Amino acid sequence: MSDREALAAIVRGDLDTAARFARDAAFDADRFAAFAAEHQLAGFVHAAIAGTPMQGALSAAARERLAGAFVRQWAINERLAQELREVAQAFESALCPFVLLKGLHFAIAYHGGTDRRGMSDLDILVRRGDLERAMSLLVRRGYERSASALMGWRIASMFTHACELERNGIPLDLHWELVNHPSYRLDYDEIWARRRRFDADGADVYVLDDEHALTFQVLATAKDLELGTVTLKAFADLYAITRAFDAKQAWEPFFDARTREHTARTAAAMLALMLALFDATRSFSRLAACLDRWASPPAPRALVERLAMRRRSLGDRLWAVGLYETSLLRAGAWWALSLPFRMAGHSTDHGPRESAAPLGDVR
Amino acid sequence: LKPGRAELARLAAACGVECTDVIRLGSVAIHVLSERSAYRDAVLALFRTEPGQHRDFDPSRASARIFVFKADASDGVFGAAPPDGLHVTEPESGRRWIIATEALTAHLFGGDPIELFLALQGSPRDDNAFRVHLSVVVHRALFLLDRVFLHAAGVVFGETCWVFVGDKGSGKSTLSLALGAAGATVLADDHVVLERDGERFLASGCDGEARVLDDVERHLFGTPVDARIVELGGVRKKEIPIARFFRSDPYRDHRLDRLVFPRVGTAFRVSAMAKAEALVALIRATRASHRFSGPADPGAYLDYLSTLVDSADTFSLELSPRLSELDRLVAWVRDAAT
Repeated sequence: MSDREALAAIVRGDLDTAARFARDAAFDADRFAAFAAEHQLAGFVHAAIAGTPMQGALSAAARERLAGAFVRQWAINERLAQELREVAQAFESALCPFVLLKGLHFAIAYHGGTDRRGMSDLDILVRRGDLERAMSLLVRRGYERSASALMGWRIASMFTHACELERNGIPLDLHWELVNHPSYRLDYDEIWARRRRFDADGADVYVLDDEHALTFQVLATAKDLELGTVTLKAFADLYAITRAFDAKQAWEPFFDARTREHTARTAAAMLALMLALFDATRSFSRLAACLDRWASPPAPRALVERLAMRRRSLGDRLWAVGLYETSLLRAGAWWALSLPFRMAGHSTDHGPRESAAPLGDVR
Repeated sequence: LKPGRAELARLAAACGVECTDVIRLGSVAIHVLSERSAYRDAVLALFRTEPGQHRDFDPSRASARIFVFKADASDGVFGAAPPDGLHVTEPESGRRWIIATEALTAHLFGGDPIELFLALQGSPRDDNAFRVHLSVVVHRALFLLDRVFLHAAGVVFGETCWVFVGDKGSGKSTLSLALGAAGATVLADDHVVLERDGERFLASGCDGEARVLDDVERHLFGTPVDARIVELGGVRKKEIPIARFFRSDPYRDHRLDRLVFPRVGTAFRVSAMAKAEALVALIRATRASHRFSGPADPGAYLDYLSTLVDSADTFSLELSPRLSELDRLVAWVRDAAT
């Protein structure tokens, strides 16, 4: 029995199994709380097990650590929700449409509430043609770019997918693409056409439909894996979106659409990895059956355990690069060409921010 | 636009203030004045007060007044309503704030007396929308005055003040009366107001009556009590005047010492509660009645609740469904008092 297995049971909502793990003599509650925090899931775990036998089975110190993480998560999310409402009003007044990515959408739609998922910033997607207008709206609101654009945004935007801004300690990523890679053929007309209205805790916004939310999460997770910064939080999101998608829609059309986008291999690999990480094959038997037909390059041995232990491995990162549906040579050439633009466009890497409390020193 | 107290009072009087009543919000008695009984009753309902419940209280002794009236945009006193959300001005000298939603604009004056002028602007979609706006504005006004209205019971045992925070069905009435029977002074069985006083908090109760189920009545009193029967959420209860049987002191401030989060489980258990866990429990207990007015607002709210949990010892309490085990609760509280 490992911390990963206990976390997997919580992610699956199998709290009886989680409590059984917690009562095992080999289970170390403090170590588990640290494990959850390292994966940016301490607040999520607290919310998921509140009032259940699993919570009662934890030590006082572990409960305190998880509860503390939840309070930080709650305060950050509330602050982001307030900011989103004001940003949404500014964009609506200027008739500049945007789509809210991840954040409150994932928390409310897939995890069950604003405070159920950790967040560190706001991510919004605008049409490429609206990019300059969106940027001026944000600058007028007091946002400042926290990173520069090499050779100007028009050129930099060919190699990156978002720019980072910040206002009063609130980070905001302004996207013009979900992810950027020359092998991808994402249909942005379809993405925008299928967006839907969503009440993000008082902010009336657009969000991606389930299929594109899942696609975005798959691609973002693969990118984090490639960069060596992925945590189990990304996979917990993937699990929650998969649960919503699996309840309503078929997997074959999903993979047919990803094939047209040249993202099917990445989608299959990340979903298979999610099933392995959370011992979830039985939860998603239709997906598991479908994945058998959409074989992706086999994952490196012990990848699941390395991810759980947050051990970076060059082999794992190269495996993620190998998921692009292009030759390794072309992928490598694009990586080298885009590197200066990507480095200039990011103030920090995408490491875990939960414990860093980027929005101020909240309790 | 910032009209003064006198101008607002004149405006309210011009609209009519014939419908009046009294709310006892802990140690603060509030005189509610309105042009319509529906507005007055909506304010009373926010604090679980029935019309005429405090008819014995002389309204001229109230330390706070709430005026509710319909504003006419053409009178030039109120600015345009915000399109959405909650807006609160920064406090000015003289402890004065403006709290506004798309349907209500409130001018709050601290000091003596506390006055809240609630002006309806436009037409809320329906009665429910009006009640939501009213709740948001009034709870924010309370918060600006450093107070929160909590679903909680309170007792003083010896020199120690205990507040038991819990939702419906968590055993608040039962435990507060059991402690009353053991010699505690009961502040309230269902609602308590807490007020920040520097780094400490003051607690006061909002009602001198307790509502109990049949089995609790039998356990505590032996024979049926001659009292009014009320139906609350589909459950019949006896409404018992606490002072008739126990010591009762609902409308006076007591310095808070212990904050307890009870629930009915399978056996009597009590354990110290980590501050972070108590903070989460308080967020859950109070969040529904609060709206934030900007990105910095959650921080202020968290700071208030953090000070609250730091000011008191915090405990998690599991009550047994067997009423005989209330003796263990009494023993625990008595031990703590000595």
